[in-house]
Amino acid sequence: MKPAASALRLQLAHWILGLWLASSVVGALLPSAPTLLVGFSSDALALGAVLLLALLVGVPLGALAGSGPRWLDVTLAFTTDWIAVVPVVLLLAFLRPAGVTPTGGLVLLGLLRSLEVGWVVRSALLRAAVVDPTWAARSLGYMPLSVFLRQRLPAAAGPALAHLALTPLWTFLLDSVGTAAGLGAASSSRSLGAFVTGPLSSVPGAFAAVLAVVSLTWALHRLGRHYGLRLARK
Amino acid sequence: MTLARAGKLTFRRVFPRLLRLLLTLLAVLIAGFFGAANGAKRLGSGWAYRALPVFVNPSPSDVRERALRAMRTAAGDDTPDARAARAELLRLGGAALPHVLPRLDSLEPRARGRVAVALGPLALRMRVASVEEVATPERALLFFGRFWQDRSIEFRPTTVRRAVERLAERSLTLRRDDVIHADTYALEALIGALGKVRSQADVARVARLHPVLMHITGRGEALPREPSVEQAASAARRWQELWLQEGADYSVLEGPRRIAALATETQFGKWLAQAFLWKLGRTRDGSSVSATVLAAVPSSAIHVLLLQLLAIAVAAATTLVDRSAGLPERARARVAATSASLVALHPILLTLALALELRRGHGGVLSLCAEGLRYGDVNLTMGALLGLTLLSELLVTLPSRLAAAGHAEQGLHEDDE
Repeated sequence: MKPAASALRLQLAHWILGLWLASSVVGALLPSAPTLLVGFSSDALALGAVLLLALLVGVPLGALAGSGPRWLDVTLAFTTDWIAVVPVVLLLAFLRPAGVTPTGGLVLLGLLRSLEVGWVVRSALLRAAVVDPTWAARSLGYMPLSVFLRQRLPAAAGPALAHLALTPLWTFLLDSVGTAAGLGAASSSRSLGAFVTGPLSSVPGAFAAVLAVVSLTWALHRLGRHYGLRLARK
Repeated sequence: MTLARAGKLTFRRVFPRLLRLLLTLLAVLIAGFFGAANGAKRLGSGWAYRALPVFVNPSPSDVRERALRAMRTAAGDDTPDARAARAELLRLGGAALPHVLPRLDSLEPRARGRVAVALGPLALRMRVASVEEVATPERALLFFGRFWQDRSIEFRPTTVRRAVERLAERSLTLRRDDVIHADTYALEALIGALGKVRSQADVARVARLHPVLMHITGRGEALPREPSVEQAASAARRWQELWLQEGADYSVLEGPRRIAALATETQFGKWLAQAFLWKLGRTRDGSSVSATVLAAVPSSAIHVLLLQLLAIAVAAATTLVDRSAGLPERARARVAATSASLVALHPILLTLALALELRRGHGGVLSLCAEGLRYGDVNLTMGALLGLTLLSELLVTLPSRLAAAGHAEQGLHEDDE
């Protein structure tokens, strides 16, 4: 029963992701697409950029900070502290100079997310370091890099993927609060977050947008656990 | 070597933490100011220092540079630029004379006459000439030549400071005239002599200096016959604000002062000076920033604390999903782990707190900061940001570090067992 339910949930996650992507393509291609569909395509683009940067920058940064030179760990800790004291919405408004391009805005958003993901990876690596059989593995002839790749990185993959899966909710929250505060949406003024708090919003539309974002977060979490962890263990 | 117990506050732990707090504060202030200064570019922001560079001023201009530039332009034909330069010479006043008068001879005769005529109204303001003496270029040139021969010795900082000190002690016509003769050259000494206004003696001093300042600058409003301490303090503050805004226009930047001006003659330098002098300054609507921020901090603190508790409660509740044994231990471990990772969660908690403040309409520091950014109110943005940084450090980073230390200690104990 349990494996069947798990397979069903995995299939549902696939469907949600597929549906989201299809809606995004329709929203991007149709010239007079409804605002909700345009929001889907805008969020998909932002999500892709942020996740890509978080994976390419955040994970290696966290891995290096958790097992590499001390100065990198101290720098990451300081930067995370720095970011932690200011809400991301305000931080984006501070750092985003007037007239920044949409691509520049997305890169900034991605870099901020990378720092958060980097911190989670670093913390997970340090937790894994306490329990990993490094000495035993080394005594068996494993190289430190091999120990790192086979033991610690898979152990850190779980928390990192769980954190990455929250990215749709993260961008949605930033877009909606940024728009409500009058500071502008974090990713795009056509995003779902901006739509929900904007003047064109309606109750069914807002409900559909929130439902879509929550279900995408769940789907990413599910898929991350299934594929991401499997990949990390390999 | 005996190690301090994990979680215990020792100097070795607190000192680096405080150092990091200072660095964090500096980084937040710099990033925040960059954003605030960008926001203040819009019209109607009320930020008086928009024209200055934000953080570094590689070429701060002083009275010498301004006066010589204005003199060269004023020497030209009667163009709009020349007229503006003549007005600028008048604004710079007596402070410009030590730089302009010795260089008059370097101009051709007609240009020299034009500059001398342009300086005529200044001589009248300084009460050193009659209208006839500066009525024509020839007479004005003759007058200023003699004036500088006779009185250049009076344009020395020590001489002017002594004249101002005498005026601050007792207001006599002669003493007043001594200061008026120096015009804006005495501005720095005059504003410095205003000092802090706390007693009736201070009020009397301000009442003696205020009319002279009004005469020299052509600004300000007369004080009542018997001003109160508040009225005198307010007048003194307005003059000090004027000096902060335009001080460099009336003083020479040389040596260490010129080096310091790289940082002080910037928007950030001016804001810092304001923050130190007047407790973070005033908002666009004239209310005190420090009072506004202090009133808003408790509201934000409650929002953030509630959200933190909610996050920890959700973390504890997730242990109920797992039906394995040892629920209290698992719940405790989950709560400890969540508390330790509050730093990573905090930016989102703060964003949610901002959403709560916007929704409820209660002005916390977060919504104040957003409001300041929206309207380009630099003082409000920076004051709210300062409050927010200290609040975050107190509510999140310090407790989460302690929780992390406690979590580590728990892990060590478990290992020992």
